[in-house]
Amino acid sequence: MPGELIHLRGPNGAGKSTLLRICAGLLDPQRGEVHCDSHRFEYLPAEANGFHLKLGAAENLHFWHELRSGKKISADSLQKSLAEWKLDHPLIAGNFALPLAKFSTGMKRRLALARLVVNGTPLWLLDEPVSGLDEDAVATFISTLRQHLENGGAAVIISHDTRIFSGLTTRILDLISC
Amino acid sequence: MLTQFRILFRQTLRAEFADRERVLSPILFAMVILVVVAFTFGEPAPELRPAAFVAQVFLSLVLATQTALARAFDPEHQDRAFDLLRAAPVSPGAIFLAKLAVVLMQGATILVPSIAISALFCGVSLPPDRLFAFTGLCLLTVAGLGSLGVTLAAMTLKAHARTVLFPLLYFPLSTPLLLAGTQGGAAIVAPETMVAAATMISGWVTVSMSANVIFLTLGILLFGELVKSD
Repeated sequence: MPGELIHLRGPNGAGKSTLLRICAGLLDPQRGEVHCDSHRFEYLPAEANGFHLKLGAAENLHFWHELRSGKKISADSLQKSLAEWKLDHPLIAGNFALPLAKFSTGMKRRLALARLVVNGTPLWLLDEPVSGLDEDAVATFISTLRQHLENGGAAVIISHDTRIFSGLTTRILDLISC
Repeated sequence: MLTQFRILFRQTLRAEFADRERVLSPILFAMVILVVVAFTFGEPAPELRPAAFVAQVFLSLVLATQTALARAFDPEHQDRAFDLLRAAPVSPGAIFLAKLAVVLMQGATILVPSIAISALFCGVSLPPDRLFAFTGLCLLTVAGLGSLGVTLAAMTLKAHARTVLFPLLYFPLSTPLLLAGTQGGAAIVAPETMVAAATMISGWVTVSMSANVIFLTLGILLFGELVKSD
């Protein structure tokens, strides 16, 4: 539903990430059916960000945006997004930018979250989105998530860090391990 | 699909050229094979030169492209970009064709120096019409090997024994292409006139094209299913 935030939680091994992968169409369910329109959601796994590590930040963001929308992202929009996530340093966003392989875990995560905003898909499927982020980046994520929900977006989030749900109306889905 | 192909091709090409090792190592590997063969066998007897030339070109081409193909999806596998591609609204056919186009470019960059160095080592001098015909047949072989290799690379992407599994599947299945390439190539390079060898050449070209059509069609049709779910 537009504006809805679902917190998918449960003990380790309960199948939270598996459920999210099924929702993203990456795994087939053993029973039942899942209908997903890949134009309308964006998936972010827990331990990876889905980037070409030998390329720079801007090249990766351009690629994913163009692939999803068929349109090029404007330079202003790109700079704004990178600045929002404090990734507007010349060595990150410039013409001679460092490849992502040189980025820290937290910086790669910031870039993956910036990609969510740039692509503007209505549903976010996020597995531990704030892992590896510092306090400042977590605060940016919370404000970005709030704005996304206010604009009619929705999100399904797996996170052991409950700070990101504070102040947001959240539906909780508990998975019980068998 | 065409737009997606263009975007994916550009990004795949960028990712390849961003990693010099991935671009240079197959070419250097091909050159090493040629040098080792040339130093081992020495200059072949005049009547064996055309056959030795064809054998050297195909030996270096096949082994070097195999090393490139076996790790064709490594850049996408590293940070699970391939998973995000699968979850994104992208046609699997476009992913396959973009990767194939980049593999073809790599094959061409291996082929050109291989032909030049083999011709030098074997003392073969081809007239332009034979050189173009031979290069064309080699490119046709590379296209077939590429279609087969990209399909198998996707299939074995998550296999634990990928480095063993890939050549085990790749070499037997590539036999028709290699047979057509070497036999057709030998007929093109042979001292007989092109007209005299035309029937034989066209026969092997037909075999090579048929294998190309089969591998390409299977690749486009099966790729989506092969990468569909874990």
